[in-house]
Amino acid sequence: MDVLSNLALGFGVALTLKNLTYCFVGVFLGTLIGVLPGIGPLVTIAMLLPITFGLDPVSSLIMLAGIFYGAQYGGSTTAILVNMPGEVSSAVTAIDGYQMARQGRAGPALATAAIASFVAGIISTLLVAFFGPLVGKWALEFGAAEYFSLMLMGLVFSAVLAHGDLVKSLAMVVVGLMLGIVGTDVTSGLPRFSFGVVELLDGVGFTVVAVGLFAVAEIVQNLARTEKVEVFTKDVKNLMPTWADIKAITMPTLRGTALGSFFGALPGITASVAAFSAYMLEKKLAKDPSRFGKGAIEGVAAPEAANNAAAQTHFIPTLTLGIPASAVMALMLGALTMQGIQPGPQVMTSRPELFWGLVASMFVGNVLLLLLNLPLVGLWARLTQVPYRWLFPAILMFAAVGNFSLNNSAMDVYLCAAVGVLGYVFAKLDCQPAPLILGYVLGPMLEENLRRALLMSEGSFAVFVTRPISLAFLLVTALILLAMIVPTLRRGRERALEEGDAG
Amino acid sequence: MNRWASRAAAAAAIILTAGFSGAALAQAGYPDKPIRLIVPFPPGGGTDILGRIVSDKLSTTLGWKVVVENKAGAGGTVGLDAAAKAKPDGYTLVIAQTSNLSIAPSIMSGLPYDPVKDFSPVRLIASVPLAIVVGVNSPIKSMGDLVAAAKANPGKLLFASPGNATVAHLAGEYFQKIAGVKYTHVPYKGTGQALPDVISGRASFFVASIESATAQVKAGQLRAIAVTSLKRAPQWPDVPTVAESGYPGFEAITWFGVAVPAGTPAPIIARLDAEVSKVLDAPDVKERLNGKADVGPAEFAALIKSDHDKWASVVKEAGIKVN
Repeated sequence: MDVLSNLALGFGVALTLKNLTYCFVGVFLGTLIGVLPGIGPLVTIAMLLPITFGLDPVSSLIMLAGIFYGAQYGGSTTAILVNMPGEVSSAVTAIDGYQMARQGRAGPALATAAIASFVAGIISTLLVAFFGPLVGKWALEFGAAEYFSLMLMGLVFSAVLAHGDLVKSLAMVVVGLMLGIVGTDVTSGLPRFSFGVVELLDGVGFTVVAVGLFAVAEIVQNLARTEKVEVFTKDVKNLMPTWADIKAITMPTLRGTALGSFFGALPGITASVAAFSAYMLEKKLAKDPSRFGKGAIEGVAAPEAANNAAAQTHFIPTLTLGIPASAVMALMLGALTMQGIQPGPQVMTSRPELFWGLVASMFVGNVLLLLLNLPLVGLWARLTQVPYRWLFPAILMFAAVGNFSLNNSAMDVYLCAAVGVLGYVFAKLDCQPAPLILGYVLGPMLEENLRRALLMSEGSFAVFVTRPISLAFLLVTALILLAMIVPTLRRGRERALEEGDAG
Repeated sequence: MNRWASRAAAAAAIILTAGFSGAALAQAGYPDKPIRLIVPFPPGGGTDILGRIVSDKLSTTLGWKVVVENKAGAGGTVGLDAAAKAKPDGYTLVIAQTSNLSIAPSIMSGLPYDPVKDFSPVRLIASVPLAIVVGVNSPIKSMGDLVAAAKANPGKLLFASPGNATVAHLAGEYFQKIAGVKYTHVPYKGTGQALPDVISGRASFFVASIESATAQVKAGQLRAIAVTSLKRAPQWPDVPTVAESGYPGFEAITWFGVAVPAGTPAPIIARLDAEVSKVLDAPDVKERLNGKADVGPAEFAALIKSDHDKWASVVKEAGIKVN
């Protein structure tokens, strides 16, 4: 009951006209910047920071948080419409969302993204409200060994992500791993694969890779077709999801929410990992996994739910422990400090109106986002009716501007173009970009945590099995491997037996 | 009529002020176009916030147009390089810090700029001491305990830092050298990832900026055992310095300052120095910059030099790899 009375206090704060306005401004800005690649919540919040000094702390926090989770909604829009992930975490949404748009189902895809995000937002906010402090303490248990085992589980799981040739998928994972380790090595401080280029010391940015591999490569492919093929079908079906669609996305949304909430609460993991895991899980559970990558609606619902859930539970380590889970969270902590509030565990007791006001505003913000996004679906969907010869230069321009604006660096634009060419070559070779992205995201985290765990255990591998959480992840990994190998073996044996019978 | 009158008055006022400052300045009319302030880190970090405070104040109090340009990459190297190669006309400023001007030459063999030859220091704007913290359940309660524990188990203590070749990392190595002890360095990618390991005791101790550990110290999750400045930090008056814990003279601070490309006319540097100094005196800025370190060009240059020598010898003796 304590939580309920606290929530009542929170809603009292969040529902004042002033805070409602700031919440709306936040989620509206978030949606806008989510649509544009490169201009992410980090840059926006940084630029708005000086303005917030004049506001009272609750209002500024409500607005800044709105920008952050609003961007998760907006990021899916361009991913679905033009295969250009506006945010890091919507790269996964692009895989099936864009195919849906090409089949004339941009409306249902966009609506699915909005609905899945909304459901996930509400559920995960409840989690923050009821279990925040508890989960925060538990997240402290995660050290290098736990992260390594968790990542390993993710990577093994990703074998499921492959559709088509397993060897090609593995090759793409390896290319992704290699791209991911470009830059300064965290453990030794030495540069790897940077070829003396200063701009490469920080590695190849995610936006560069995702936009190049998805958006640019897609444009080159479309332009390469000599026969006159329309990229988008002219026959646009219903704008809203059908009843069958709703039924199809219910469970994926809930599973995505669960995975996203889990990953979001861990300070060492990015939201894109949550989106990937949710996608892989759906593909594994699907009756017909071959539909994935060709416009499966579950492939939109699950990662979108995971994204938004992670965006909300990301606040747990930040608010309950004062530990920033990402750069954006570090910025929010900075904003609080500037307001004279020391973020950390004591905020919940010393400034309850701040913590609970923010939690309540997340409910309000998610409702506002749904109201804002659903009516826009029709408008956005009409974008696919624009002739491609007008659309592609605009996409390329946004891709270039977005990449440039990240670091004010022309190098990123060149790199993105180069990755685009690479993406075209991969497409010609029938290699999927998704395993590459996965290797790129997980690889460096896997390596960093493996080396840190061994550094701290003085080289003893026992640390991975003596720590219970790590051991649990490893056991699950072993189970997944068995579950994948056993049927293959049995099938192989059956085939051998059949052949034996025939012969 | 009234509107016209006030506009005319405003115009006259602008012309008059312009005339006066023009007469007062050797570089007539400076600045007559927007000034860019290069922040060599992404938006949102400490360096960015400092840059925005300075640009904001210069713009609002003087009516200058100071535009922050984030040119991040390679720990500031990309932004510093851009500033070094900019036209030295007073329209490019850069926020530089210890690692860019005093540490980088010792750890990067291919550093594209020369911290001394390519820049003229303008004014030091902030100086932040580091904190040495342990998990609240740790038996280590003082620097004496830390040294005793390190001596009892050479190489066993785990020293967490926010990254390789950061001031915090070098401070830890410097202390090893001074105290004659040995522990294992565990670098993290920033403070956020290191904190859970330190709070839970998986890492023995952590060296990082005071700001990054204040929340946890207040909440009773971390214990501060020392600060690395020569004098106690104003935020933490009860926490002793390393120097007073038996290692006199021990100092490791991160400073931030405004610099311009070498060759910028001296009168412009003097003007910038004077204006930035006024910014730092504003009460609201003073309040926000806890560790204010307000010194002019000559002392700033001396600090760059002395810190360079100190960290170069630490890098050499600790065997930190040069890339």
